[in-house]
Amino acid sequence: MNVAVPASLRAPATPGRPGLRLVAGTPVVRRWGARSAALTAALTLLASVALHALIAQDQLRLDRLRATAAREQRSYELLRLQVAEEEAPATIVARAHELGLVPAAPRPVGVPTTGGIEAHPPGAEDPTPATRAGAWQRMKRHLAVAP
Amino acid sequence: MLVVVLVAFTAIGARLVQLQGFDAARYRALARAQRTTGVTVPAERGALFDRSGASLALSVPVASVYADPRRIDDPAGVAARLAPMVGVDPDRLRGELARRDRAFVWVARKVDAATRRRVAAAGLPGVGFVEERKRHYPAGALAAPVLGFVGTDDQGLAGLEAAYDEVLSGRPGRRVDEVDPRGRVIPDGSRVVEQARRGTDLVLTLDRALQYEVERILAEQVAAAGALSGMAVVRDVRTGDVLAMATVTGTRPPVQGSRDPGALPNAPLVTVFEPGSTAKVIPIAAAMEQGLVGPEDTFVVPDAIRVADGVYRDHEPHPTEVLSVRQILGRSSNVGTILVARRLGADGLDAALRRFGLGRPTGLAFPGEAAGIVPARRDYTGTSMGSLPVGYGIAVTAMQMVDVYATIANGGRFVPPRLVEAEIGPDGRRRSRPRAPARRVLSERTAATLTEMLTTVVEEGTGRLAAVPGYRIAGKTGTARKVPYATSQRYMASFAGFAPASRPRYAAIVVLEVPEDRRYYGGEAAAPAFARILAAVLAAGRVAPDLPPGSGVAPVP
Repeated sequence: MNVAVPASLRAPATPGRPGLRLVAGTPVVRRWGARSAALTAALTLLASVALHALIAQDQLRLDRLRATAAREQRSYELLRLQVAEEEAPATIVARAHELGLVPAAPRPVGVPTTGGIEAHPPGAEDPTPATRAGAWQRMKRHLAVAP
Repeated sequence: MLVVVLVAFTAIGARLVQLQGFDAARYRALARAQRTTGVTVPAERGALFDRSGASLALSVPVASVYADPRRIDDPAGVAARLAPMVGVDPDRLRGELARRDRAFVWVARKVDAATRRRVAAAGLPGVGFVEERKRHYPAGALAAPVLGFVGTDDQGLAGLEAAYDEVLSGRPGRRVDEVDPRGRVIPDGSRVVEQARRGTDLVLTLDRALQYEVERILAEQVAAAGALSGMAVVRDVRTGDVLAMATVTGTRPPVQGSRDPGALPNAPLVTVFEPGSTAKVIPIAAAMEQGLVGPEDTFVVPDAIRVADGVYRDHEPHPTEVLSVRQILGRSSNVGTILVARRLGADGLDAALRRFGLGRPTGLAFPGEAAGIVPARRDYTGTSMGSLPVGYGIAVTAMQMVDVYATIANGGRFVPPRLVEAEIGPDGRRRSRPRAPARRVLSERTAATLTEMLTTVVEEGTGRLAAVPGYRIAGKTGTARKVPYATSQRYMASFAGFAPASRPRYAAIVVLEVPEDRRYYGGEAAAPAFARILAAVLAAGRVAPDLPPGSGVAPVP
């Protein structure tokens, strides 16, 4: 539809320039963009909160595990002390007396004719009972000293 | 107006630069201190084990009770409830809790688990716990003078605990947590943990069971002899390992060591005494080594001899006799030994005493270890050549004296004694400690001849009570008067030796201080304990008897 426009309002005629016109649909795109940004922000925030909650939860769990480990280690060390006290010579002797045991009289044994028979050959190391020392050596590096 | 604005902004800018730039570190530290709390994590002190891994000293976790007086509104009430639980004086505790200017006071250190539970159950405000560690000695007072003890803060104060404090201590760690305004740790706040480094364990050469037996025998002998105190050492002649080292006082009943701060010193290393006749083996060994005398060479021996202005006598009067060197040693003749030492000369005697290690510490680096006293050659007096050969005028430790006999037992090679066999590091790895180098003091031939002569002392001489059925024992008695000689009738009785003589494994010494008047000779007071100790050691070491058939039987303990 052509409308008659006064000549004074008419733009100077420029050869090749298109006339101005309305562009349809732009407000819709902008609205969707804003919504997407808001949604993304909300999701990010939610994820962040969730992550934070998970981290806090795990940290609490870790703290509880550490406390349990410390408690178990304390228990181990106290039991170790108890074992050492129970196997001390004085404890064993006292317990033997309580049970009515008496020292055995020296019992004669035959003397080897050649002499020089030894359980440990000269120069050999004494056999170290591997149980106690070995167990501790294996265990020591696993015992934490951190709280 | 513009100028005023400019000046104001310049001032604000300058202050900003000062706060954010120059003082930034200080304010950062203040802020950190406000929102964080730091806790020192004590390192676990290394343990002490015997040679088989049995625990002699352990550190275990315990709690200490503290209070924050600022958070206690009723000091009197809290003190009245808390004091009986932890066993402290209520008045003193009330005074401590009333000090509102302090944020921390100790209530009780290192309480037991039951006390901790009681205090925790009471739920008193402002009362909390600090985790610490406490030293325990599971075998009680066993080897106490050797092991020593630690102070409240776990620092070594005596014995091996002090000597190896640096190794045993480890390195404390630290934990820093972010806290809320009420001081509670924020679970996901920042946390910095510096791991504590566990102390290194020491594996000693001591044998716990043997140590117990030696202490028991020594205590019984001290009581039987009515002595003031006693000491004993047992060592392996080949390795130098000290298997047992005991100190006993003569109280009734005898005390086998104590862990009080004023506890017994480790007498075999820190106490010196004049050895008397046990030292006669030194001039005789040196004279034989230099070929100046042989075991069957004879001397005309009266029962007394004048040296400068002193007269030296044998312990029993006898007519002038012709004695071989073997007999001189077997009968422990003072006069005969002085005659042998004359052939050696003063320089030779001085060199011999030092070559056997007298007059200097053994190298164990034990706190307070005595070097002993050996007079310098230039300080010899006219009577030195009368006193020194028979074990007077010098002072030795029991360890030095047993070393002399261990050297003879070991074919003339001096192997330095050692108390620490290995270390177990924080990683659980065991590392043997290096051995001090051995050195030759006597030739094997001289050592073998001396060993043979020393068996005569036990089989025919003054040391008969040191005999152990089934084994050939080599050794020497010693009876020395304590100073002041003029007024004192007090003696040190000793016996040192080794077994089995055919293939020596163990050397030992027993010394009793001032046994009662009737039986003060080393052969009577000390030799019986030596025999019992050696019997126990030989049985524990599973050493077969070395006497020929029919000569005896070995007791099985």
